Amino acid sequence: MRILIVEDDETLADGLAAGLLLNGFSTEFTTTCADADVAFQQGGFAAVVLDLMLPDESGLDLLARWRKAGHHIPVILLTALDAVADRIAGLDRGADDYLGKPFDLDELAARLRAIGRRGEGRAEPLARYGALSLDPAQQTAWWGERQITLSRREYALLAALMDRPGAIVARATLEERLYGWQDGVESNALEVHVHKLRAKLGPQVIRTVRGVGYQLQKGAS
Amino acid sequence: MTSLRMRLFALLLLATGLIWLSAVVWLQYSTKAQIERVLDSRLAEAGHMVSSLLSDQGLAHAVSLDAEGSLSLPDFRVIDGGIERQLHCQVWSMRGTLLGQSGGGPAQRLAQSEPGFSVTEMDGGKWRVYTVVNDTLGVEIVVGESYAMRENLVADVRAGLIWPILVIAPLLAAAIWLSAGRGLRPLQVFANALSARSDDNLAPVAETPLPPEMRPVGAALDGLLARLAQARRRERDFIAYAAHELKTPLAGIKTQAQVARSAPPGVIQDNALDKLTGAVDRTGRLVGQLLDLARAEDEDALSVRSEHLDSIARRVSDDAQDLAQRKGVTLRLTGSAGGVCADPVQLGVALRNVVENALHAAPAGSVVAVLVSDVGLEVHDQGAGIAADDLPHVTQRFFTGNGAREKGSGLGLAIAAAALNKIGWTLEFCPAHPQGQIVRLAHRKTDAGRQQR
Repeated sequence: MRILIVEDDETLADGLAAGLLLNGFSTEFTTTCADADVAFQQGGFAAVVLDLMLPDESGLDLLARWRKAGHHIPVILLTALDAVADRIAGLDRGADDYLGKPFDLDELAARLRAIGRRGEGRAEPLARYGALSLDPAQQTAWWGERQITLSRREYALLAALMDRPGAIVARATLEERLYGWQDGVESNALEVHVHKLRAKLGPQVIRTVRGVGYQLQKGAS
Repeated sequence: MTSLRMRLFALLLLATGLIWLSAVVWLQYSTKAQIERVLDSRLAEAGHMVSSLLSDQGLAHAVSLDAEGSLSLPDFRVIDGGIERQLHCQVWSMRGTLLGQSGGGPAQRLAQSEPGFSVTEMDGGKWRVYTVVNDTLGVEIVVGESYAMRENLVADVRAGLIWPILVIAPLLAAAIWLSAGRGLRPLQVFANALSARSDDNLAPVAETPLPPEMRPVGAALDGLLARLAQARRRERDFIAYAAHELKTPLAGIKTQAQVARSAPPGVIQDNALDKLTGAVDRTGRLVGQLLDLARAEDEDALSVRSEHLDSIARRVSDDAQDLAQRKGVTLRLTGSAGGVCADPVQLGVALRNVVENALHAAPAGSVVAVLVSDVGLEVHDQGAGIAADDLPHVTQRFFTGNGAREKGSGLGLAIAAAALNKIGWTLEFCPAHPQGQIVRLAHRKTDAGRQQR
């Protein structure tokens, strides 16, 4: 899942990006409503984490504008204004969830997973595709009854392919998921991790589409 | 102070007593005059009555009997009745022979032959005397009355006035005491209502009906309550805002801490720990500034020891050298002034915040200058300067400009403005050339002088 973070406090935004990455999300962050609008128009986000008090305008106004324009993207409000009246106002202006600062990172990740799977139209925590199922909370995969232990990067890659199962996912999208780890280019090489995943899941699960990207194949256990 | 009830009681009792006493004195005098008048006329009447009785009883030959010295006078005891001992009558011949007198009277002649009223002293007592000259019979009728009798009458009247007072006085005192208590009851009710109030009830007291005498007290109290409510509201707003502003850095700290704990050792963990340290430093500075602001707005915290402007500027710039070094900025102190500031603490706080602001805005390698002159203190930096749109807002609490290069707490200039305002100084902003910002801390008087020129 790709998350748009709109937060003007640099330390918090940086922590959110790193923390959500550790939880298997990829993120992009902006510090103003204007930047958030531009990033949002480019698309590709599964959810937005939105601060209320931003330097140029209130996050609530941005949210109201998006809802008026018919955007259904799930939005979690993140704010220090966490009195009951503020929560109600936030939810009534179109937010899907509300977290008061300071919050727990794992709780934010869990809420993002919850609104993510609601967005996909399922209530079950596991994402399934053929014999493959993915447990976002544990960051593990199952091949039939067999549990497969994944590194964080492998999980991030598999989760990116599972976002829209069966669709071809562009190399750039997948590389972006790995880019956040900042461990140097070599270890981020996409091919290396695809290779490791194939070794764990079976060679036919991930198909290479030459010049475009990769695609998950429905396989039998 | 004695109780209002006691004062009222004593005053009322004293006033009532004085009025009553003067009434007694006045009544005594008027009664005495009245009695004298009445008794005098009775005396005169008695004299004339005796004179006419003598004429009517055909005693015209009395003069001829003069030599014998005996005269049969009517029995005055019958006529005088009960007051026989008070009124005495003597009939004297023109030659000075006592022709007759009523019984029990003094043997001497009551008065010399002067017709009309006179006063005589005899037998150790004073007498009021009336003399009638009967020319027809050639006799003088002298009627006298002892003053002692008159005094007794007046004393009777006086006693008649004083005795009831002595009986009534305790009753009157009790009535005054109770009335004073009852009259002061609204005060007690008011006091009870005030002491029954809860701590956070700052509603005006004038809303409850008050007697006109207590309205000034109520109004003064309401003024105090209004100021108190305003101070409390300001404090509450400040705490709410401060708590709100602290929550975001705390959220950052918590998030970074969680990242540091769950990330594998490496770049992400190191980065999170660095950010954590930086965020704790910034939050610490924010807390310090909040305390500064609370102090700057605290109306009572005036210090008494004055200090030279030079010394204040040196102290502040010495303290800020550490920050300047970390930022890679040169902090320079120039100029001097002979002036003295009466409140060096507030001015120091203001200058420190302006200098820190400048250091945060200044690019590395640039110079921040603190200029001391007789006009005041100036801080020059070579940063981006304050945007014209932001100028009206820079002294608002928690305002951070949209284009701020490094995001601060938005409190520095608010603190400076509050501290300067308290000591009668102003904070002015002007752009520096070719770039940067000049912030001037000026005494209000010099400011006014410059504007007049």
